[in-house]
Amino acid sequence: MAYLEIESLGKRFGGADILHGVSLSLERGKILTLIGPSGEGKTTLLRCLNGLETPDMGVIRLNGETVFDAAAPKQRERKQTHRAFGLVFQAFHLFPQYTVLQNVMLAPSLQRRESKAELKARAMALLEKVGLTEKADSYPNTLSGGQQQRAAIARALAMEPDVLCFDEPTSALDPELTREVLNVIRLLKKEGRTMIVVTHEMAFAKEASDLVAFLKDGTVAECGTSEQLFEAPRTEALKRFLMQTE
Amino acid sequence: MLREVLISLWNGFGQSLQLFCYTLLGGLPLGLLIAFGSMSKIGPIRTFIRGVVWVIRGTPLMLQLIVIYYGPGLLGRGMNLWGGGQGGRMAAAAAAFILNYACYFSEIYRGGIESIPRGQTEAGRVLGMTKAQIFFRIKLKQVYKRILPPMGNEVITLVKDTCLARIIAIYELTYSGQAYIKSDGLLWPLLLTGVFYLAFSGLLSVLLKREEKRLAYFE
Repeated sequence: MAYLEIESLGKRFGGADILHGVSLSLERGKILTLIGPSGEGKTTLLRCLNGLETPDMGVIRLNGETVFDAAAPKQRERKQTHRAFGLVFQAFHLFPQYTVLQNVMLAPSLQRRESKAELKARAMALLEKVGLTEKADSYPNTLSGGQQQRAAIARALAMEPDVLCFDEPTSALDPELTREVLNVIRLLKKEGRTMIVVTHEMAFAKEASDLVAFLKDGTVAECGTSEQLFEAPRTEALKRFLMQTE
Repeated sequence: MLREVLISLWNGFGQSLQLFCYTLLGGLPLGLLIAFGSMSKIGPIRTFIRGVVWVIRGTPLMLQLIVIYYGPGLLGRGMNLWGGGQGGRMAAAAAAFILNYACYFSEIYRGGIESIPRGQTEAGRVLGMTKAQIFFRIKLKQVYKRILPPMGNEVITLVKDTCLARIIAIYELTYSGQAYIKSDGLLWPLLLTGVFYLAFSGLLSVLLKREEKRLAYFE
């Protein structure tokens, strides 16, 4: 059994199937990218994994444990010391009234039994990792988009999620800043983080993914290694999509 | 004469200031509760609260003062909530002002809370924070910053609205000034009350501006 197993996940909004029968599995320490046209369920899938939406169908298992089961949706675990999933948003959503360091420390300080000093040391280590040591005491509105997104990544990492999800993390950034953020994701990959990335950066998806899934009409139309999908797409839809994004 | 007038106005101002403070102390928290009620997921609660806000905002504060002060006593013997004397009148006035201002505050709170982008809540949720943590640790300060200007407006209005309390015979500032028209045929004491109002609202404006500046470090 794989580390992360998503089994026939379904989600309806107002009578429309946004996701149906999405099944995916991912090994620990691997990176999965979700590609496909806008509005085909990629973001909804991440939101379902992170508990922002409750799927109508399906099961999510992590490391052999059931994280979510549509048959018993209330049992989603709460108040764990670490999170099954973390999410980095397209629009960062940093907390504007807190400094970068405070943004990183807020959630763990509320949920974990760690001394302030331990917490701060851990937060500073995360900021160093994303290259923001000097910005620890700055407020979000003084940062560039790339810096904000890197701060948001550090904030997500502070809760030590088993699987870190990124929802179009660079769509709000210009190319220069996009590179900073993608470099952080590459670094996390080297560390062996399990990650799921929704992206329109095809070059990044091609180079960095262990597994690529092409979503179309709310379901996985094609899934495989990046060579398989980018060099030898099997479906017409993916061929057309790749042509358009070149 | 001036000395006597000043002492009298000062006492009147004391009454006005008391009512002003009671209204804020009671109205600010009650307004937040009413705001939550008007955003409740439970339909009947929402409808009831919005109905109350509609009635209170749709009728004159003066009318509410009269009803709240005289109403209980007219319902029957032993129902007089407020007791006699100046203390009872002040309690009734405070109750009316708190209820009235809480309803206005609640709409400002609601506007402020609803204006916070949903992403803030979602960011809190994916970090495993509870609803209460998300409200108190993330949203409250952002709401506070956003509602400060409209709240400031209400607070300045309140300074002047306190003079309505004279309708149930509270010897507030305007009443104290007007008394000299009847007793001595003098207008200037009434004009002098204006200076009191201006000075107090001026002080509040300065404090509010300073608070806005203090919060300017984030967006």
